[in-house]
Amino acid sequence: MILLRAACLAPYDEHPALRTSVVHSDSVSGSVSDPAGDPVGDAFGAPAADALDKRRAEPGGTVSALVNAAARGDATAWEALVERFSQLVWSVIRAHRLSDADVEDVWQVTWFRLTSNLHKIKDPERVGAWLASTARHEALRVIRTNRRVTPVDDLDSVSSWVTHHSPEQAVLDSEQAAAEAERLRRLAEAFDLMPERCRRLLRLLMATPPPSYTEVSEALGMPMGSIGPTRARCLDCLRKIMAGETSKSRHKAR
Amino acid sequence: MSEPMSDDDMLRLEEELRRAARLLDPVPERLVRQARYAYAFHTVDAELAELTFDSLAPEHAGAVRGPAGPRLLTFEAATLTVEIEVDEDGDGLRLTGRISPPRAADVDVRSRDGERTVRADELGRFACDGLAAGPFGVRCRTGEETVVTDWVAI
Repeated sequence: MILLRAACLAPYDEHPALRTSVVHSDSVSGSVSDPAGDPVGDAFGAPAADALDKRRAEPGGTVSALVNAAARGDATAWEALVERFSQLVWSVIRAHRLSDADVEDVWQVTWFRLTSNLHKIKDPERVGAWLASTARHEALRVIRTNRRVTPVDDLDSVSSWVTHHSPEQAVLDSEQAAAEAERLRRLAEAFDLMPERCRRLLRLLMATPPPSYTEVSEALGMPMGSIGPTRARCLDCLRKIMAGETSKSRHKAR
Repeated sequence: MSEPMSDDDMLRLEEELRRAARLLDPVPERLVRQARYAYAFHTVDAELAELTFDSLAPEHAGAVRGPAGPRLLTFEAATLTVEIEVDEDGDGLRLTGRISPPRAADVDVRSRDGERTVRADELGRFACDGLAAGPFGVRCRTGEETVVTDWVAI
């Protein structure tokens, strides 16, 4: 269980090129790994004022510097790329309904493809969008292939976006564990009641750091202009479900 | 009727969702490790052979046999082309490949389990069996150049 918590807090490598770019959430940039790889300090709090401006672009050139260095053989740069974009790739995959085995295949193909394509990416600064697009195409390919051999109704093997971590386990050491767990559970349940389109978009936006609109557009095949309005509608929908303001909340939307 | 959400409200709810994702659906550490280790497959200065034909692609679905038949893949680099046929073999997958223009080469066959090297003859022909399904790629070393195919899932 402690191991799961360690994985949850997704520590960012203190690669010099990354230090200034992870500004979106105080609670993440405040997490530092000790040599054993376990996060030190658990800063779940309200996001800093900086974090509210999540559309801010990365400081110029940091990501492309990592891509170019990795292309030339710098393993540390590669690791920094993995840390930086893991959550984005994960959230793209989780925005699609795939079996556990397919999740792993799509994940691996996406990262393996990056190792072959490091020197070929047209705009290295936008490797996040490349990763999002690659993960999406792989996920769709898998879904298409599965449809040909498996009845569409066979959704039992498909994992929901929430894995086997229960809210109670997840907030074990929190002082207000019970209240937090309850809030988390209500949030997770309300999320599952949203229409599919909202779940996909919000699951994408739930990556740390949050994706750029370009990355979202690539990940979902969605025009950039519709992201903002859809996001607003979906967050409003979620709020209403949590406030019990909609009759849809009584039935699971699958 | 409730008021529309302010920007601050939306950002706050989003941040709460983000935290929920970190707690309830984090990236499994095992997968992060796999992504890190993937770099072992990176070859500086290798040429990339891109996938130009895949019998499983939707646009070819009508033209070739269905999922029960062999999978046909073509990868093209500037100086050489690799064609690969993937068959079920009872004990895993078998691949038969051909490099053209024909030449001998060392062929590193890669899957999630690692790498196995086979030899392509002077006609560019090579084969490998007992391959695990999943991510797959091939690196051809002719002596003059090194070509890496893009990865696909087989």
